[in-house]
Amino acid sequence: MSDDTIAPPRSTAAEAPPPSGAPATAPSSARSRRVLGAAAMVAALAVPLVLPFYVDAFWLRIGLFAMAAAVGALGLTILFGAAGQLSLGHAFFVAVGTYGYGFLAGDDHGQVKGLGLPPLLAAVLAILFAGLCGLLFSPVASRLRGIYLGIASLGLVFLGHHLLLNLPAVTGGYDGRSVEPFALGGFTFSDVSDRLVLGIPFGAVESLWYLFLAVTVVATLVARNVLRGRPGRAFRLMRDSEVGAAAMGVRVQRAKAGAFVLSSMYAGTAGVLTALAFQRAVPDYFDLQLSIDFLAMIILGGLGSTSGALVGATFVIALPIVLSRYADVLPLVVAPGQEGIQASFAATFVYGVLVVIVMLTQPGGLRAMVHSLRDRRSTAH
Amino acid sequence: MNRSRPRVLTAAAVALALSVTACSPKAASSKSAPGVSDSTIKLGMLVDMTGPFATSGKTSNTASQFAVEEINAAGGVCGRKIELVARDHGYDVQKAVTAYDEVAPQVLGFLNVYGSAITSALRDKISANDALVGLTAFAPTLLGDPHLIVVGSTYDIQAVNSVDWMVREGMLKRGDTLGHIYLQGEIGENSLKGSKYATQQLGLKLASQQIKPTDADLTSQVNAMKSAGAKAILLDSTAKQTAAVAGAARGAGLDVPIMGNVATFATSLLSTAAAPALLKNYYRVSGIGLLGADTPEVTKLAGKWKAKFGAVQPESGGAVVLSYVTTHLFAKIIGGTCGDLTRKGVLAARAKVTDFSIAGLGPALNLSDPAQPTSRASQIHRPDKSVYAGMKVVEDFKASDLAKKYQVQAG
Repeated sequence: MSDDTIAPPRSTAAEAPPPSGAPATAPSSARSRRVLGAAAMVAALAVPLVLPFYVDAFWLRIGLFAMAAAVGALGLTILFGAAGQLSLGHAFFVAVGTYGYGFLAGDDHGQVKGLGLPPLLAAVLAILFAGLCGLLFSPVASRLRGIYLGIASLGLVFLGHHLLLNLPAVTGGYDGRSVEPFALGGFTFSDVSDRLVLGIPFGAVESLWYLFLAVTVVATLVARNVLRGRPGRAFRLMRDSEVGAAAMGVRVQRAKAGAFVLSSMYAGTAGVLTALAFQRAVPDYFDLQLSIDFLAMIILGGLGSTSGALVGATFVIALPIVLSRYADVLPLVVAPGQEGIQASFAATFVYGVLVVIVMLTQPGGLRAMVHSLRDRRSTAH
Repeated sequence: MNRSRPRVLTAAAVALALSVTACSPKAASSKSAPGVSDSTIKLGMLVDMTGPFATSGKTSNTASQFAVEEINAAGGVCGRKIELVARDHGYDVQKAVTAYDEVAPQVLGFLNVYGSAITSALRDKISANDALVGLTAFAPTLLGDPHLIVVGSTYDIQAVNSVDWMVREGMLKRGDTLGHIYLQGEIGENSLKGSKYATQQLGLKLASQQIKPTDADLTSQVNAMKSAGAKAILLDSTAKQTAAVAGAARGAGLDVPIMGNVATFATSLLSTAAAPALLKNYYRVSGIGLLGADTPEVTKLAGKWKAKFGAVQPESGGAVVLSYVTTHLFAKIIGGTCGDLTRKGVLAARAKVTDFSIAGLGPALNLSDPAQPTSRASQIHRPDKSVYAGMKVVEDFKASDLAKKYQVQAG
């Protein structure tokens, strides 16, 4: 999985001549490496596809949240990692996607209104609407860069939160609104009773898993093509030198606006996925913390790379939940409700320490760690 | 790598086919009721033990544990011991949804699901799973769903009862203005329905101000109450905001009774600078009883708390009482369906409970109609430093005539 990134060039250990004593690329080791590589590919393709048949809803649900976050992180990694434009307003565009889908696909429930459109159409429109919101903000985005844009976009989060609380007809106000389950050609992605696939109860999480997987794969491929292609090169050049980019014929303001709109649409997609994973949209989720989490994902994973965004999102989403489930084995932790350190409290500490360790030892992010492990293994042969 | 791709895809497809056709452990999940074995019945709790409502969550957990110990010491339910499976959600919907997915397959029902946003996020799943769920919320919009148990009177009925009480006590007279400061969201908006109805019926005027849970300074709202000429204030807020309102009213020279809902008080408020103002003007309406009450049952419960925590008084006496009552109520419901210990059986058994009460801790509860509140009675409390948990009873459980007439709009 090599991808175009801004991360420092990978350690050249792989290409370096093998340490003296080892035979120069023995054919057997080369073949075993290829077999291993193929096995890893098979696993990477097959494991996600069969997972819903083996693991229970808890793990699948984490997977759904991680995939939703990963799509959002992909958008931010294009914007910040490649184009160098920091946005703290990502949570706003995620909220636009979530509530946009909720409003377009939902029906009227009392005070809360909805248009009742078919879910697929609603999802596409919600994503386009998030892009439109990005376009409306792009005059600002194209005039500022780096941390200055970050501060300017901060305002969007507060604006968004205010709107979520004070447009009850669309958002349901403080208590949020429920979200219509996704449906495609008569197949609903919800807990339909007694639906069995190959003898396994096939409810909301199992079916959503495949939908999310498909969306994540498509989003990753699109992001990868953008980063590898002309736009990606223009973004990186612009990040490193606006003057240089302009001299090379890149229309800097347009490229900045383009990066912002694209990233907003990714955030909107993440928002639609979030809505489906939660089955409920509540305003308190879309605060500054969410924007910071996205930033943490792409930096922890490795800035500007698609695989980094995926790994980072999984790390940031899954780790706290998994830790708090298994935190009772940690020392000094008491049973829920007792006086002392709660398991989930200890989990946040462990999570915080892990984040610091990863950043200290792997400045290139988790992605660089995976690569260096792989390179070490291949040189060990 | 490109050359090997078709082979990789074939291998992946073969692996996929093999693994799917092989027997999956998930398929083995039998039809027997989750959470029930020959010797135990497991019940879940999803509460906030690390987030903004951690005090309440920890308190609920301890109080439920007390009740479970009592029930088990007396032989358990249907010959089985009760076990609790508690999870913390830190008031985070994402954590709550995953924790629900983890706990739901292990338990027969949920004693407590805390938080209105969380409850509404889980409602679809709860009904799909046929689970019976106890709540720490009193919103009328939660009525009408046989899966949810709202213990005692709802926010709107409590507001009606408290306005009625203030009129009976002569604090408000026909033509007076009642001020209502309410939180946006489930609690405040439902409470407002009650205050609108009561003021209309009793010939009062209503001046209302909406606040957010995060608002710290409520001076402008209190000043608005003053300029509207409010003779009393109805308050739906957090406990901290109660201190802010009492302090601001004192500062503005607005010397009127403040009637808060059940969540507006915390024991530690009486050791803050707002204590004198609270002792003078603050009252509380509640659908459940007090830890400071003087019946053998309540003394026993308070004694347990004292034995465990010594001089540290519970921050929220209401949460102790509610969780304790709910746990015993669950035992009663499950005890009515020993022959059919399934989720459906438990759901059907709830209607058999028509007159449940623990002396001093709550009014008689009638669960037969899910669309109606389990009770229409409330107690009026006021702070008193000398009483355990800082509150004493001013008027015992009473359903006002107005509250009996009031039509609850179930969700």
